[in-house]
Amino acid sequence: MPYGWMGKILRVDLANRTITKDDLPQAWMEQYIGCRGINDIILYEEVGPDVDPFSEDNKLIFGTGPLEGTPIGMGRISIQTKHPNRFIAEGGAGGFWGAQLKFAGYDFIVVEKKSDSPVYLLIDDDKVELKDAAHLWGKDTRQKYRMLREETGLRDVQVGSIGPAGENLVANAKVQFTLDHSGGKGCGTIMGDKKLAAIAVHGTGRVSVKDGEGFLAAYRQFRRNLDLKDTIDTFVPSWSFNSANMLLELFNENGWVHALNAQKGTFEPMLNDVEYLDKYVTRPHGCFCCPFPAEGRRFEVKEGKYAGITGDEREVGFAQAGTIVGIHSWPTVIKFRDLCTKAGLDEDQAMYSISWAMECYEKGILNRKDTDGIELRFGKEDAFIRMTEKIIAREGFGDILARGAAEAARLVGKGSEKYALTIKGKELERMPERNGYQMALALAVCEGGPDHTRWYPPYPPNPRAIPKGMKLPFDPVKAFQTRSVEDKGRLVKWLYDSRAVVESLPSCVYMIRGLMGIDMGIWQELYTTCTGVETTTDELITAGERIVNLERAYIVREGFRRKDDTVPRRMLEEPIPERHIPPIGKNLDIMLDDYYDQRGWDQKTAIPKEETLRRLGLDGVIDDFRSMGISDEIDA
Amino acid sequence: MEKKVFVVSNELCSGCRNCQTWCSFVNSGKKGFGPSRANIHVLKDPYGKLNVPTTACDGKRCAENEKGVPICVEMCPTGCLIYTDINDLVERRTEWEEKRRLQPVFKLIAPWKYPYPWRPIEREEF
Repeated sequence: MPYGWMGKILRVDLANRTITKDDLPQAWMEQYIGCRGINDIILYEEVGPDVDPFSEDNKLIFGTGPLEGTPIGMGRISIQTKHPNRFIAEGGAGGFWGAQLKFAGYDFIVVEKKSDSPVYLLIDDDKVELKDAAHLWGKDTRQKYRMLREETGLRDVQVGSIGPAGENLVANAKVQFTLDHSGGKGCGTIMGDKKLAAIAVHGTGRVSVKDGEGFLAAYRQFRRNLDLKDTIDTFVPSWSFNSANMLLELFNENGWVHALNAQKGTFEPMLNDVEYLDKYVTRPHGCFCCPFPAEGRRFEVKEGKYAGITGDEREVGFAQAGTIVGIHSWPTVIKFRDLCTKAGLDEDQAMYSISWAMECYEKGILNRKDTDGIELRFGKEDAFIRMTEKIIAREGFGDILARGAAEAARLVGKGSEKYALTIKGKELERMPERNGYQMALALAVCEGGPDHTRWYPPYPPNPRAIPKGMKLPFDPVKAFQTRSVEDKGRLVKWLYDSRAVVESLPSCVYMIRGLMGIDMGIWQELYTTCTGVETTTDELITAGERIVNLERAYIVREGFRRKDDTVPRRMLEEPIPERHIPPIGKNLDIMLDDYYDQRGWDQKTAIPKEETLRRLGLDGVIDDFRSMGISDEIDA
Repeated sequence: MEKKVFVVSNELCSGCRNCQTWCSFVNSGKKGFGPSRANIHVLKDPYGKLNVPTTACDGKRCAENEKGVPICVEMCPTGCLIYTDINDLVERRTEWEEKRRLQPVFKLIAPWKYPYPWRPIEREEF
């Protein structure tokens, strides 16, 4: 067993209430690194195209990697399942849960079948049991954590649970971990369908490292890259204590926000991050071994209607919820965040569904009768909060919005589909598509719906800081030009491959700052010193490419083709009026051609070619494609 | 030489457990990470309101390295954990108390950890 691993997969059968501990195959560790990569291969092999997402054959996988449990892992956990829209629902969460799972002695949990009554899984080192959770069902995620902490009597227990949103099968519901860490859009829905209320983990073991001195030296180098003073990355200092809120004014200045359902690119008056820091932040609150001092913070509303609300926030950038529905009040946005956190509801799903409904209301497609008497206009704070509550409870019009903007638009009809901001049926993530073509391309081709963490960050380090003679797979000046199509294929391929490696180690993609985003050397050193597996940066990137190709093969098998790799109609056809920013238009097709070429995928269908799959050692996929007749589509 | 001790400023602790994890690493002879076997533990209340690093370690042996401070202090990202003597401690706490009235960023980080020229924000009451 290589260092870093625990070497165990925990298989939990909810129907028969049995638990088995399998060994982790050595070949997977070598080929797919860990975490997201190994989740992919489990999902590919065990959840085939004939499995309905809501059937009992769908599986829910929680995965960690070799570096989890070390300070590089940041407690990252990758959750995967087949999304109700049939693509891969994959999401990462930070916190302490993932690390605790490693200390308990397991790398993966595979949840199989369905239970007929609510249960929860308790893992306390070797002791693993399924317990009745009738008393937990219906409680919010914070209550679930506190009840389980009391019940188990374990001071340091970490709980991953679903809230009422997951229990009510709201689309894209997420899994919420102890104290406001969350992830896995769509995984909460499947977890609710399986009637698994929570997974409580407690571990006291140790993750061993091959070369301690080497690891410490590499880690110190890693920390220097992220230090406020030593970094070459201009984002680091403000990111360190403001995280995504620092982007508010930058985005607004440049017309990058999705204001009023992305009809506009700027919003006045914009929420102010200094005001937030001054009035609402109380203290820092990070994930497991976060090297940034205050990438996550705790907030508290001290006065007004929503006084007393507290919670944590990290990257989320939930403040943009305000601009999307046209409000500029910090307490309302914080209340929205609080509702979503307690219910395990995905913020993006809620804010884009509601903003779609607001636009429809203003355009006369919806009226008061449809929305249960709520005047659903932009800027109406109470309507926004009331509607969020209705989505969670699935009552009245909330039941329609709970299906997501795309499905709601299909139900309402009357041309409202034009205003739904979704890709592959899943809501956007507040990224400026029309202003950064690399982002438009990256969101369009993403295998898990629009997910920005798979290619983040999309900006270069200071170009003058790039060492002379360093070979890059793209031209750093051309590739990062925001509104040009040049070199975007190679850039996005690199972003996807390298981030797949980081997410599979795992580590947090928000740590990819400075040169760490273009030079994989430091990640390779950390990986080698921890596991003892000799490898090169090129081999790691190839492993990343293998992971992305396997994910693509998965959604191709489910029937996704090039036509699904697109951005919402609004981004393609409508300009941003205030900043005179043109729509993307035909540029997307040019970039897609380029990207598929670079990947070795068929341009017309976006299916990976056989030579590409063979080069990456994915022979099993070739056989599948042949037997299903997918290979024939390329020739036609 | 004055006697050095660990001092914790609870308000600045982000609860990240860098100290605890790295302590277990040194304790194990640099063989691995297992925070439950550390000399410092970060306690957390279930409401998320408080993180309390707790230690009964004197840090003497650990501080005998090239950095001159124990590894928990070196790895602390916010500066909440320090290893110092009484005179230095008084000086640092005074500086912090003064500065955090003027600059909200000192709710999150310690001025001794990031001693850069922070610009105070303008407020009426000052």
